[in-house]
Amino acid sequence: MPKFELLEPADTREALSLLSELGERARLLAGGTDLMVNLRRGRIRPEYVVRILSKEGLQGFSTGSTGLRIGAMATIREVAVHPAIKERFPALARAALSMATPQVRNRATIGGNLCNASPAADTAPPLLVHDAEVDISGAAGSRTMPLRDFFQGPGAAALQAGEILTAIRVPDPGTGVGAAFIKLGVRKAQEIAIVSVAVLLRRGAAGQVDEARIALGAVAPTPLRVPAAEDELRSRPFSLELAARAAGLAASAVEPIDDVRATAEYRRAMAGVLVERALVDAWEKAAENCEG
Amino acid sequence: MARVSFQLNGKPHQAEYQPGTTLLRYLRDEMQLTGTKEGCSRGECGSCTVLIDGKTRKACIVGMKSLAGVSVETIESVNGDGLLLHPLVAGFSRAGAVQCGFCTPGMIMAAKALLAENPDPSPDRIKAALAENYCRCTGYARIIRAVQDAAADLRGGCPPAGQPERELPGRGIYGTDVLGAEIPEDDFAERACGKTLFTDDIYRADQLVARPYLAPHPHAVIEDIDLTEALRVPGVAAILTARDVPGPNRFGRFVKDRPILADGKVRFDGEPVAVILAENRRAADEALKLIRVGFRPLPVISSVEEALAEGAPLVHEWGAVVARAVNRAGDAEEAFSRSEIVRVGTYRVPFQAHGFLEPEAAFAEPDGEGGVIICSPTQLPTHVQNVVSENLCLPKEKVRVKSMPVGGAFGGKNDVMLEAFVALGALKTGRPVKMTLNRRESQRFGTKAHGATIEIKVGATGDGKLTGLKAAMTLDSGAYAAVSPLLVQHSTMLAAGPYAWTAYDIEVKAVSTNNVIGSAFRGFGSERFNFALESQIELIARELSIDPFDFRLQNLVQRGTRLASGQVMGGSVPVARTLIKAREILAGTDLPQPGPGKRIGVGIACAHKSVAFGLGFEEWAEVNIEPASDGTLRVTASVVDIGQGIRSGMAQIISAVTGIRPELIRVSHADTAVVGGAIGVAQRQTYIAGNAVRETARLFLGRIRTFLAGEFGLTPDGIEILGDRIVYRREGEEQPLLEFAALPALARRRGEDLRLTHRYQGPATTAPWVEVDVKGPSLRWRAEDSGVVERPRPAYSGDGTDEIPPVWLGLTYYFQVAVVEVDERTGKVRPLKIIAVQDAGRAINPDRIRANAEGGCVMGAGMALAEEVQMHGGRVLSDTFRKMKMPSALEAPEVEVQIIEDPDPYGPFGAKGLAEGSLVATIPAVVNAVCNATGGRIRELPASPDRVLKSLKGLIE
Repeated sequence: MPKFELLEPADTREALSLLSELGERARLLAGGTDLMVNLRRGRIRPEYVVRILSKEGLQGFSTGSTGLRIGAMATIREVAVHPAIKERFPALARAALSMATPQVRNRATIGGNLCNASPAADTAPPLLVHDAEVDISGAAGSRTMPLRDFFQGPGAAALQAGEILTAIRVPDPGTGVGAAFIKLGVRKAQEIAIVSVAVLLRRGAAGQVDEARIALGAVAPTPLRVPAAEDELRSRPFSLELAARAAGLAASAVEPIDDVRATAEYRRAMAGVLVERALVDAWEKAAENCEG
Repeated sequence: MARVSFQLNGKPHQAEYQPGTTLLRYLRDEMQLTGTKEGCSRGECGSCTVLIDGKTRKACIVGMKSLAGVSVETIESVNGDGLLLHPLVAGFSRAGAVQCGFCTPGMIMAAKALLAENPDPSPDRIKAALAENYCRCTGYARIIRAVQDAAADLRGGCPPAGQPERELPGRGIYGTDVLGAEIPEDDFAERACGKTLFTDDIYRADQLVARPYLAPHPHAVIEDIDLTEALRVPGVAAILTARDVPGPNRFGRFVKDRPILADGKVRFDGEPVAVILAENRRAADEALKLIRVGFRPLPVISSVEEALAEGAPLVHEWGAVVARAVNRAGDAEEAFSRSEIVRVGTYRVPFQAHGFLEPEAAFAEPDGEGGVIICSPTQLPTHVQNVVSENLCLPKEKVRVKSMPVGGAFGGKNDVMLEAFVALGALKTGRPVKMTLNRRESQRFGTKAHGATIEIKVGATGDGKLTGLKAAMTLDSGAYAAVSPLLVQHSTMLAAGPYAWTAYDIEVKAVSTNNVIGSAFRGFGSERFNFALESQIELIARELSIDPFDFRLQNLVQRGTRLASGQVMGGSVPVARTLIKAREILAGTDLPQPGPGKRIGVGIACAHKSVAFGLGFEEWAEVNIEPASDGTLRVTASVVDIGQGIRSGMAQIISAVTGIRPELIRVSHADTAVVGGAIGVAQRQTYIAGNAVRETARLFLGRIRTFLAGEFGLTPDGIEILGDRIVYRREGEEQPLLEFAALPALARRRGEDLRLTHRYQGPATTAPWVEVDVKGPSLRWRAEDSGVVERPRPAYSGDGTDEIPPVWLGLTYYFQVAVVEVDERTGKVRPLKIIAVQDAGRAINPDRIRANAEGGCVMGAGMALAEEVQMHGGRVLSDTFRKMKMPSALEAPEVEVQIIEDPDPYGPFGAKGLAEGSLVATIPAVVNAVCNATGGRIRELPASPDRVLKSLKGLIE
């Protein structure tokens, strides 16, 4: 591993001033499950690694009338088992549970999963369909942006030098909403997605789709939403044909690549299949949420 | 140094450690708690599973710093020092869930955490809990049974109603009763507890750690090597390069083309250039980064096509094709012209990995008399001895090779791996040296199953009689020849399968590239070819609308059929019985109904595999027998224990001959200082070493009889051993003489030496009619380095009238049925069940045979559906367990094994060897099942979801 100096600021404030001073020369350490691997492989060579000692304000979950706030340093395991997430954001819980291994989930943080900006980041698709926003702090102040705009390319998140992600805000989905997450891999454990899909649907009283959101992972340079497919669904009565049509539009919107896990062609085909399945699944869940 | 306090196995512990140390390194290097094994160093394989505050953790990715105040439990806590086995250890032993035993301690820790949380887990829950613990030997079913069994024990203590007493099977029997008894290996519990010492578990106070500098280029000229900075690292004792190799710096089983350490050139990514010897791993790793090698990259030959292209650069000066053989009989084209149906196909198989859990390791120490003692998990102790002695310029007797327990091999420890490095290091420094690869290094440096392209043409008559076979297999042999020349020759003779043809024309060649080295693998080439053959046969049977069982049945070889080896088949040929039994089991099996969007597919395939070398190679083995003063019989035989149960098999044979109880017989691993000729390959150990043990046991019994006859004034013939006592029997009367345990003392008092060493000479075989054209500094088949010697080739007239002595001593036959579920939309396949019928000649230990077959079937399903060592530009992309995609407990199909017995004329008590064919038959059976579900034909392995989907859409045909 290349040499670096470990800095351990007491709190977020101190960390921000350190990071703004060091800029590109420093990297922030959260769970370390991606960062340490990248350091060891020499993919990144920062002079400093910054670890915040007090995680106050960066951890935990708070629920309010508008939705849920997840501290960026909440671990993936915490996200997977949190009662409010399991109940109201089950697709997110499921995605968190599908990630890596228990030991990695114990260390890895949701903030780290997003900031690493992998196209296959497991928590990204469910958060995207929930219209999540991210809180970002820098020495100059704080800002909030939609998660959709946060991913800029493989490994590239919309963070300026010196900025950190502090929290993820997920609005309350309300009633009549169903969400689903499906991940396709060859093996069941320890798998990185060939394709992952999250879907959120709101079911109208007349059986029409009031709201539709579809997000996919591992099929484009970033996790992405597919507006054309979503538009196709909105305001239409739900049917299997409609789901198949929307799925076709989703498949033509993705830009997958060939890699060690699968071919681009297969990924594109699977984007369609998984979207279709997730739509059916989400629609059924939405029905349950109407009655309940 | 940093400090941290925690509970270690129930006791307060204060650890001092270098910052950055992992728990695994601390447990092993500082505490010598070696039950926690290192399989991957990346948290992927589960061999190092420990419990932290009761939860499973991979110790290889736990930092010491995080341990403050926690409780750490390792496998050593499970059985402590108590005599009573922990229910999990007992459960694993009883269920025969232990083979090589390398993964077992980790499995037990994961199971322990599960049972603490859920005292009565379902099989699915157990599979999920063990999903991150790989096992390559067992196929998982027994492990799941063992956990259920232990759970029952822990819950109530009493066995479920109707089950016999919970005792290890096979106790108390002896003599010929033990043949066919399911006797567990005597060290199952020891292995399960992590007490068995593997090579990396050797710790000597003054030992040095060796680490390799592996070339980062697939093909390059070494312009200079600068060790200055690396040698300055404190703790570095020496660095070895090609200059330190006193001998020719060349080795190879059949072509001496490979340097111990690269000199002048590297030919594959991962080729060793230097070896650092240091006081500790940290210093070695530090120095590794400071070695400066000037490489001048050369064009990389990354595929067979590139290697064979006009004007392509050469990997070796003698040309691109390192070995080629043609086996031809009759006129294949003429046979095709008389066929109603002729189908051609091109099949592809990628490089695939053995996936043993124990990475390559070796240990050596000076013997104090100018020689060296090597300990390693090699399949070929004698070959290691030869190569090290030649390259280190030492007489053979100065190189002693002790065979260590092997943590899985499957053909992957079938060459000199690290032994020469540690031997050289030990001689150079005068200190013990240990070297172990990490998984990434192992994936690059270790050998693999060849990448292969098979072009095949099969003809049949309209009523389903096979006519002609024309096939050409091109193997990507990678950078060095390794076993390719023999494999090429072998393949031409096994390629025709257990089928009778009117004519065949089979060409196999191995091509040098800058890829990973292709070498021996379970199946020895037939696992590549059989995929093509059984696919093509299935396709023709379907096209002719003939039941695929019937189609095969009417074409199978039988006694009197002339095989593609030129040999007229005699002896034990129960191949049709394996088919009929498999069909019968399938008929009695309820196939699952497919769920919505799913299809169920059933596929079958047959395989045969030679037993022992045959081909005119000299077959021999040695055995040393010695009654010990503790009342046991100590046996050292030419056997390599790869986890297959060879030691219990040998003990059973000795018991059958002598009458001594198997528990009193301790069979130890090969040691070239005691016995030569140990070669743990080619399904030969039960066959050859088994015969050696049988003969030696007979001689030993004779010697005891003579001795006691003199002692007691009796006739020798009436003296018998009954378990643990020796009696004299005459006219129905039995007179006790003495306890077997008292024999050594009596012999000592009388000055009688009962020790016996015997060399068994196997039956002669004939060199095959297929000649192999080998390039490079070939050893031809004299091949002393393999410990085998070829006999003169007889003159063949070629007209089929020769009385040819056997080319193969024997063949074993396998018939497999696979049931799979295919998802119509994603192409994902779930292998549900494999029915494996296999010919054992005579089953010495049916339990070990079934255990082996279960593992072979799961391995085959993995290779059929998911596994691949992906290469790009000469680099290994699949360099971790996660990327290899081996099946976990979650992906493993159910396996039902049925053994067919048909005594072999040469094997001990009629036994054959049978370690490989289960895999060879499973691969095509699974692919045939998938294709029967999809309606398409998949011609490239693995049958990954994208290929399956294409075959569903009819795009592959």
